[in-house]
Amino acid sequence: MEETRPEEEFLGSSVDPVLEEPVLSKAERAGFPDWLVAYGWILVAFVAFQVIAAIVVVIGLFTKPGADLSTLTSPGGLADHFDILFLGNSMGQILAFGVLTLPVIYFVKRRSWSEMLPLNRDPFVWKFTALASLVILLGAPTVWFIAWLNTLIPLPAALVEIERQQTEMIEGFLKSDFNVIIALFHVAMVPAICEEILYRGFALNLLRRTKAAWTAILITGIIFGFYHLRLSQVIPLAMIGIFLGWITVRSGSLIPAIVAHFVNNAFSVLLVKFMPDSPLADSSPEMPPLWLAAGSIVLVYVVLSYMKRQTKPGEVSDVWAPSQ
Amino acid sequence: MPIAFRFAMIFAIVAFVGNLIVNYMVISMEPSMTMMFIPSVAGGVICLVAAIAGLLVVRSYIKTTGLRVPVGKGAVIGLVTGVLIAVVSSVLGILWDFVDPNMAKNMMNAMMGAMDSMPGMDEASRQAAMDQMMANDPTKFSTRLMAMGIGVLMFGVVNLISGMIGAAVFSKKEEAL
Repeated sequence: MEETRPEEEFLGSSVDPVLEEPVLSKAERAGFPDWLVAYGWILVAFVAFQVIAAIVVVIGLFTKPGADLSTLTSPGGLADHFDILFLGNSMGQILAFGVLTLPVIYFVKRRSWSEMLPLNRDPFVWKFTALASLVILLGAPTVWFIAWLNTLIPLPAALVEIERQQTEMIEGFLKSDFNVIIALFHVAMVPAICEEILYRGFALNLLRRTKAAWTAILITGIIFGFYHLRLSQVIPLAMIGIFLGWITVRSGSLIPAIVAHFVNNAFSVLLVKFMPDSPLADSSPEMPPLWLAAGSIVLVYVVLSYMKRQTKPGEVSDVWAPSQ
Repeated sequence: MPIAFRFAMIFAIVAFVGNLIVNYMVISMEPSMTMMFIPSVAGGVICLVAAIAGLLVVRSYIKTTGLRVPVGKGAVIGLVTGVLIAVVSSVLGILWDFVDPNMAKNMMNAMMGAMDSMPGMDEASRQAAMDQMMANDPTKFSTRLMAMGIGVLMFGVVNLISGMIGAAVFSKKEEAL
């Protein structure tokens, strides 16, 4: 009997074992190429996210005592209504990236939901989850260093000014007397689940059908970097996206990426809350001490090398090839 | 894709000429609040007119090949047509700079004049909007590139939809015949 490739369990076999005919998704039967659905839905989800968030913010300003719509037009006016902003952001992410992505996944899946939302929870996955979280924590100075390098790229002054205002607003909130649990929910938990469903679940696995895994990882990572609309942070964000893509492919599960994403965002919230004077908490960083950056890079390299050597039971060597 | 290219060329010229007419109309108008909305409304209308290209390309494809086009393939044909329209009309816009190098600047000045005449807008917001307008200098390469990107998105999406509609409608008609 032919041995089943874990890859096939992960992405769904493209051939029916009984009829020996290709198993096609609803999208493929309707003639939609995978790349069109992947990029198209990322774009639509992004627009839907903005629209939903805007609607929630407007409704919030209408209903909240002491707030009105003039807040939207006055510079820095929203800074006093962070609860509404966070609510809008989370609602947008939950609905656009989470709930609305599910019917699209139904449209593109060939056999089971686990092709796009693999949630394997074997010991290998948990080990990978712990190691990925460790990389995120050890890599914080590396990200700081890359973020600093990113700031050296000249950007239009108007854009820098908009980003500076946004950063000041967010820092102002995080350094205020905010509820940590609520901030962790809005800043860490919701994005970790919803963005991973969209980028590492839906887009990465769909692109992997026709592209080599590394190509799919790079594309989704770069889009993830740009999606945050912060050009001064594109490179570190894209690198985090690429890392999350790599651990998803390597582990065959979304769980390590979700947990590592949560750890990354939660670390920032906790740092700003409990160590507001730490240079790591400063979002417009100066160059980090070189010993710190170098030490972080070496440690990340060691852990990544160890992760790379780990082999999933039954794994085949061509896990990086396109699945169809 | 020669059919797509032919229709894209025609509709790119239509979009380009439409934009030109709107731009010169706005430049020659007295500053008013209405003026602010004319380019957006006209842009929407031009986009909808250009969407006909997606329908026509799919129709021609079905008629020429006699093949049934699935909705997904119609979407791809429409998308390619839309992208071509955006690129060709942007290139025509750049070439127009040689004919009238001041049009883009005059258009920006007209819009700033309109912004100045808007009632009920506080000074800080007005200044912020003006600064943003100044930062998006239409003669800069980055602004042109961004405009082309937006055009690719707009024309691409509407033609993708019209291509899908075209595939659904004309494939059925072909089958009925």
